[in-house]
Amino acid sequence: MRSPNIAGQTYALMVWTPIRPGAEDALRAHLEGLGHRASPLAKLPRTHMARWLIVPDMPVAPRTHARDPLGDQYLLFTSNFDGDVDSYLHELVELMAEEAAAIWSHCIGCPQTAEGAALKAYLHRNQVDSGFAFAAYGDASVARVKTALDKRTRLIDFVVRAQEMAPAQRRKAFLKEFGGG
Amino acid sequence: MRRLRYPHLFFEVSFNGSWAQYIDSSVRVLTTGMFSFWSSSRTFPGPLPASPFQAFFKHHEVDATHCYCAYPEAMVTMVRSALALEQRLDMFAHRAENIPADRFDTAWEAFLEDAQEFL
Repeated sequence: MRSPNIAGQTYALMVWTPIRPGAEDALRAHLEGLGHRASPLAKLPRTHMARWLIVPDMPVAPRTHARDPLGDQYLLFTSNFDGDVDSYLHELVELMAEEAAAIWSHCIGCPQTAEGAALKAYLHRNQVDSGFAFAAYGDASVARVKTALDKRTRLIDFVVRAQEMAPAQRRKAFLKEFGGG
Repeated sequence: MRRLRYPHLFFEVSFNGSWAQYIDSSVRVLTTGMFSFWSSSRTFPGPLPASPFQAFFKHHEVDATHCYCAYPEAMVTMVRSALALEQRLDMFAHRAENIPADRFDTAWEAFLEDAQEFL
């Protein structure tokens, strides 16, 4: 049976890990300090989108008595990426080893040496399957999306420049820009 | 660690534009579908009118602490257009190598007409 985490060739990963009591503020400060442009997740080239959330408690709607305390605060990591989860987690603990250790070492049950196979197994163990996953362009890898966006930008630029070209020059310039593929 | 009393439904989504626009358009497009997803949730007010539904979403929302996108400048429609355009562009580039110079402009204009909706 097909995994509910898969949409096209992308995989929707979700990992819930409880944060050590007293470590919540330090973890939040660390995550907020990561910035966006220099995100460590850029080291994982198969990642389309990913995020970390700190979940302090389960929200309770107003005027209800359905409280359901979470107990500890939780760190939630989600990622949409190309390919299978096993090799992705391997890349995560290898390619962003230092950053992964700095984050998940705040969590209960994380191996004392938060690295390599032990950290990968910890993340695997705390994975929660999706009920349903959807991707708007699930058949396209990150590399293919980036290439297509780049070509579109270059073509738009070329269309503007081509208006000023002589007919013979236009063909030559087009083949130079887009030919040979 | 504590065992929760109830199962909880977790919904994660990445979208372009404003929060209100997204919720509003979701309700309009998926009015009956919203019941399938959310009717099992306590205090779900129904998708319409929009205001109580927006409040329901807002109340249960959890902000991301750090988020990443590999191509943050691109909207979904832009990515889809780029993917559709790439196929046409690659085919035309391959064909263009065999188009004589004096016939290139006609082919180029036909290509642009075909590709226009993706630019």
